[in-house]
Amino acid sequence: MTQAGHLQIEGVARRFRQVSVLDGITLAVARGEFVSLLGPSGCGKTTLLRILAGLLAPDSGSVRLGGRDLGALPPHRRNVGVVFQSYALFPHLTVAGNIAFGLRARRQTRAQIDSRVAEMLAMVQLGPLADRPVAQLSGGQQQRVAIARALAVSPDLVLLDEPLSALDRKLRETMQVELRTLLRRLGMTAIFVTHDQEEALALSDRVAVMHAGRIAQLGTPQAVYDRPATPFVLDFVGQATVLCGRIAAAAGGTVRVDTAYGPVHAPAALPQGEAVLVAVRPERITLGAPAGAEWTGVTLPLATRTYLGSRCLLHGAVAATERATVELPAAAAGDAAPGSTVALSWRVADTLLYPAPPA
Amino acid sequence: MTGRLARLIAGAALVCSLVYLLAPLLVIVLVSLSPSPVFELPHDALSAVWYRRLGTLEGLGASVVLSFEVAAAATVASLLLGTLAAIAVVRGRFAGRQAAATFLVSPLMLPGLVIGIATLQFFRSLGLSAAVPSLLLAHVVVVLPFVVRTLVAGLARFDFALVDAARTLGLSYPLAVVQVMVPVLAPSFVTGALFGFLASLDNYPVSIFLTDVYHRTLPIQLLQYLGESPDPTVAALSTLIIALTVVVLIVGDRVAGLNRMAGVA
Amino acid sequence: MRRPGLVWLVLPALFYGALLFALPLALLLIGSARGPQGWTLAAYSRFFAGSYAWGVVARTLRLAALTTLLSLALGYPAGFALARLRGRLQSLAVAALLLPLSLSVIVKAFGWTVLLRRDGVVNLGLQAAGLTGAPVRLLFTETGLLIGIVNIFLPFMMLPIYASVRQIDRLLPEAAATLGGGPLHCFLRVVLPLTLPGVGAGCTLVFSLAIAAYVIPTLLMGDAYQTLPTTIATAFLYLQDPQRGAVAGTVLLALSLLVVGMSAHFAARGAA
Repeated sequence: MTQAGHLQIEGVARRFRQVSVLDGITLAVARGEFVSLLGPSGCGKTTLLRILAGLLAPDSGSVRLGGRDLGALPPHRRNVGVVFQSYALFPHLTVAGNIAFGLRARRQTRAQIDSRVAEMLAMVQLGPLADRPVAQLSGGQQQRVAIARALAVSPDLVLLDEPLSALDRKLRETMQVELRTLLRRLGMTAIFVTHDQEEALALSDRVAVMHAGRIAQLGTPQAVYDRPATPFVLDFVGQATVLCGRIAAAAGGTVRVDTAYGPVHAPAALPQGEAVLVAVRPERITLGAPAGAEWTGVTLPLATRTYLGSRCLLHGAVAATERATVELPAAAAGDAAPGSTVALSWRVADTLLYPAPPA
Repeated sequence: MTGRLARLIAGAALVCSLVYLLAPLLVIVLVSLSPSPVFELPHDALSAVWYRRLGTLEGLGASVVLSFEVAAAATVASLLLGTLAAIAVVRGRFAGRQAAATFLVSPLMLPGLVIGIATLQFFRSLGLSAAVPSLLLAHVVVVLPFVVRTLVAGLARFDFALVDAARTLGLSYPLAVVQVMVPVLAPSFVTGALFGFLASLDNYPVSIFLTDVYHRTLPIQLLQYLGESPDPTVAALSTLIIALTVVVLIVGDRVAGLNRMAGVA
Repeated sequence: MRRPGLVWLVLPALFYGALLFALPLALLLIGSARGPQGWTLAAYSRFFAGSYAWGVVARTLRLAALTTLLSLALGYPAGFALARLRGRLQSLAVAALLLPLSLSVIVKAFGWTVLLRRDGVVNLGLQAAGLTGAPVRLLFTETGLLIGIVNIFLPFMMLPIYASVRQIDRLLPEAAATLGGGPLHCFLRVVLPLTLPGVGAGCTLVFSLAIAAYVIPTLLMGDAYQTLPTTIATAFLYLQDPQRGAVAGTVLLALSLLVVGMSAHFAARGAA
């Protein structure tokens, strides 16, 4: 990336009581881009968010937003909107009072505030509830107030801390679409913290998968899903078949890996003899032997078969350190039954290869 | 069948309890409005004569003033000490903060008379015999548990993300505390202060050892009247105390809600 | 972010409590066991010599136990019914409970002295109902005392029970019913165990308040009825015998610490 991003995070690090929580995060986000910080709890994503909001100071590193160095700026001078996980709506104020809060803090005139609040209420479709105390709202409505409140001040950046995690599944999906449409329409630059990989993939322009205080992989949702950079990303984002093996032969940019279930070919350049993990996404796998040189596969015994309506999941009986998951259209699952041995195949190009983690 | 009978019994117990609980209050109000000087009930005429005679109760005005002064001062001091302590107990991360909270609330669970005599002996050994400073110092011990208890409960419920939210919306930290934390915690402050104030105002087991002939708090003065010659003037005074309690409860209900005041919700 | 530095904020209150609450209590304890020749339990042997003091302690405990039992018998069903009320009616009932709770004990005690007179409302009611021909003596009897003292402490029993019933999921008894339990079975196996913490809290509160009651026994029974609190007050206010008062105070303090401690112990075991 040659041009500096709208948001430029450089080598941000933070420790708590000798424990490194953020370990040199560097990330550039373009204006209008929606970037997710995806990771399990404790990966540092919320810490990074709090540093961006100015609620926490980094030990080292810098944050620039729209050319300004945010370094020593306190949260109230940053013009960064935050949607909190608990929503953090002010219980002593009404819906309108919550949305107006940031505008009042900026000492706008009464008329300016009223028109902006009306605009935001219309935007999140809460007009009729303007004078309700927030405690009387449903979860989804509270969520919208929180978003409207953060956006009312026209922030340069909006930070969303697991904003949908408190909603039930159905409502969450509706809100995902609503949120994405809204932010795109406003051209808002957004950082979205979540531990829900589906949510991250569905919403983001780019996903930063975080692990142990670092960004394990940064890329488009498709890149992160199709070409996970590390076994952690592979594991955390989506399902996978993962088998242990050793490189038996290497030639011309492809290698042959011997596994307990037959040789597997993969596009890679790794030295012979090295212990590796072979992985492939479940929906890339078909039943049957490899159909040509571009294909590779294994043969293994089937343990369970789960019917999911449109799709069917097969699980192979493999070693405890391995997993064999196949996802097929229900019609393509044939009569493969638990107990029988099946041949599985996929394109060589879809094979993922990682050095085996030290045992 | 059994269920319905049980509900019937429980309902009857509730009605009986409430009637029973309110009976002494009701009878005082009625007696105070009676024209008869001998607590005659029922009576058929209403009279304000005993209220007009309140002024004849010796020492009443001084005791009311003293009680309110002591209660107000003790409440202010307790709010100061209690707020700091509650913040430390809820937000701090030091060993023994639970023990500290228990210690600060413990005067509520111990016999008031024992605290009273202990305080009396302590003050005597220090050579402190003046009633007013003794009362002030001792009543903070009476009020502080109420303040600490409600504030710890309120702070424990308080979502500190609210302060963060206010800061990201454009308020400096001190302003965020003033505009968000103070109004949201106001109910806890008010309930703690009101109940603490009432507890000080009504306190006799500590005050009884610290008052002297010239400085009697209202409860001690009231006990004195009852010991001497109770007449309906005392009922009129008691009715005013009931009215004050009702006002305090109404204020508390407006600010915090009855259930929270009862420590239930 | 929790910070260890916050410990400073609790220190003023702790210091105040230590100086004006813990230290005086400690001095009281020490004073009760100090004679002219140093440490001695002479004051205790003097206090407990003969049957008088034992009678006082027994009377105090008996009064507190009876108060707790009666409060529980009335307060349990009443607290239950209160929790099952809805909306405005419940608010009104809670208000009717909070008013006497917040009101000066002296005022309520005064009310009972009027109610329990020979020509008082209670006697008029008893006669009107035909339960008695002649006025019954209630004031300065244990019956009258119990009527008055239970009245003072009943709210402290009802509130914790009310709170514990409120927390029971209304569906739980229904779930128990679908599992084949009758109402009695359901009550004994589901509802009662879930309300036990409230009962425990209420009993502890009422018992520890009742052993320390002073105004009610004084006003409704007079000086002849001596409990630990009246003994303490008499020793200090009339006999000018602080050591006797300190001994009685220590005994009372020990009793209430015992009650609170036992209750905390059982509550912790129940929670574990």
